[in-house]
Amino acid sequence: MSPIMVIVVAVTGLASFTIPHYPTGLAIRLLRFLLLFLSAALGLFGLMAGLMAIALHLGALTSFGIPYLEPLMKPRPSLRDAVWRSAVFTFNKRPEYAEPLDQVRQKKFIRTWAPGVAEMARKESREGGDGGGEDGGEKGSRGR
Amino acid sequence: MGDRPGHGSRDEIYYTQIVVITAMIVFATGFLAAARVLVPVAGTAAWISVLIGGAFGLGIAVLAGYLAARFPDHSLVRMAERVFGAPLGKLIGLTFAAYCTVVLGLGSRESVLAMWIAFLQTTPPVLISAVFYVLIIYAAYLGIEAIARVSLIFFSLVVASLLVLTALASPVAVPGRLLPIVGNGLGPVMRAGFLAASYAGESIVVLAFIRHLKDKRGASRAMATGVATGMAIMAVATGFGVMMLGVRGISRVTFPVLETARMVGFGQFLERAEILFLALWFSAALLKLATVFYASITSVADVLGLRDYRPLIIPYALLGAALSLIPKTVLETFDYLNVFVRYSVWYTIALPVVLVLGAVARGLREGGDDIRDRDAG
Repeated sequence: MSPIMVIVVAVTGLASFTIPHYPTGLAIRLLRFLLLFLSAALGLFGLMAGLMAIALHLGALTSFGIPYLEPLMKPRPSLRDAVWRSAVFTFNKRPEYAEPLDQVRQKKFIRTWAPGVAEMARKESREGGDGGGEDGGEKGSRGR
Repeated sequence: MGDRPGHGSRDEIYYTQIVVITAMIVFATGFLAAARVLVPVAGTAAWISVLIGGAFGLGIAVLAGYLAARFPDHSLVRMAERVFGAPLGKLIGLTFAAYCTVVLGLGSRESVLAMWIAFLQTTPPVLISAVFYVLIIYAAYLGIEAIARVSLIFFSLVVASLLVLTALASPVAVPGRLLPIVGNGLGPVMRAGFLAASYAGESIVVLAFIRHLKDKRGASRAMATGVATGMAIMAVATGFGVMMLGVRGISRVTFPVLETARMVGFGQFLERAEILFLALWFSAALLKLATVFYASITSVADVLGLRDYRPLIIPYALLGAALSLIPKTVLETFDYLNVFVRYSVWYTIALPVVLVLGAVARGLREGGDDIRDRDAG
């Protein structure tokens, strides 16, 4: 067994803990066997072929009529919930692709206890925005 | 067919996806060997000839986009039928399908050879080709929407890999090898530019499925942006090929971009890094070939009046695979490639021009409902 093999096995093992969703972890475990066989047969070419097949399958999946990869398709705010994970308090609007009845998920400034945020909310409210949550807040509560 | 894979409730392609698909079609297989085709004609100015070819390509893309805006609900075959009547339209459709098939055969042969030479020397090329076609068949079965979504994801990875390669190659590149700027002279550079236009002209393949674009008014802009992106990538690849290998060096290697990737590395930490690049380029080539394959079979289905293209997938894949095996050696492949780029450019210019002229002369606009959408049932 080569040193790089030990590194790869260790990284693979550790990486499996980064999947927060248990059923997804199980699915990935099964797919890993397929990729293992392809890699053993055709090397990196087989691995890429397997990954491409999985990517194409994901590309065709839909959930309640919404394509599975839709969050990745447009550089819109929802990308923050797909490629990287932004703070929950920044998700003020619901994803556009889900075509929600109420676009507003929560008012703009929800962390009024944080330093400076309450002041920002008051300032935006004075300037006629929805920062204080009068408009957004109402919509937000309707949405919830 | 609404419940079939790839035919979700939306059945539409976004502007960005058309940009990416067009760029992939233009550069994904061509950039590997473009320098090998263009440098013997243009010399050190091969990269300029790619830009000139891109300018030709922009014209083709704008015409094709105009056509798509004029007939928003039609595939290319249906457009041709509407402009020239059924018999002539079907004939034009068949020539388009034949063009796509040749692009598919040559593109797959080029990609298979690149894989074979780079890291699968003991594997028979026919096996590599078989893996390619299995994936192409799967992609075609899923439909263009799935291909478009995956293309968008992999395009960013491929561009990132090329940026990394460019950054790594910069310290070892010799800019002096690009001199003289005009290479073998203005005439040869223009001639090479015309050859390079054949790569950009491959963007007409998009006409087969442009009707899936959500907003057809953006078709011209999307296709032009895609062509510009693809040709810019190809110009950088060709330029760096010349800077790394020189004009003489390029004539001695099969795939200049691959050799360029071989010459760079991450110090002595990660050896043979070109395999990582090639693994990503494989995905780009595969998605391009899947798109071209989809365009071929949907065009043939339109010509034959089939409502579903899927019965054609297996026979057509066998045809494409057989075509890709016709060139026996690497040199023979390049002979075919040289002939193809010389003549295909005329077709890619003539097709949109003839259709646009016909549509304008007859005052035809907007598809109408007389021709039923194949996927609507």
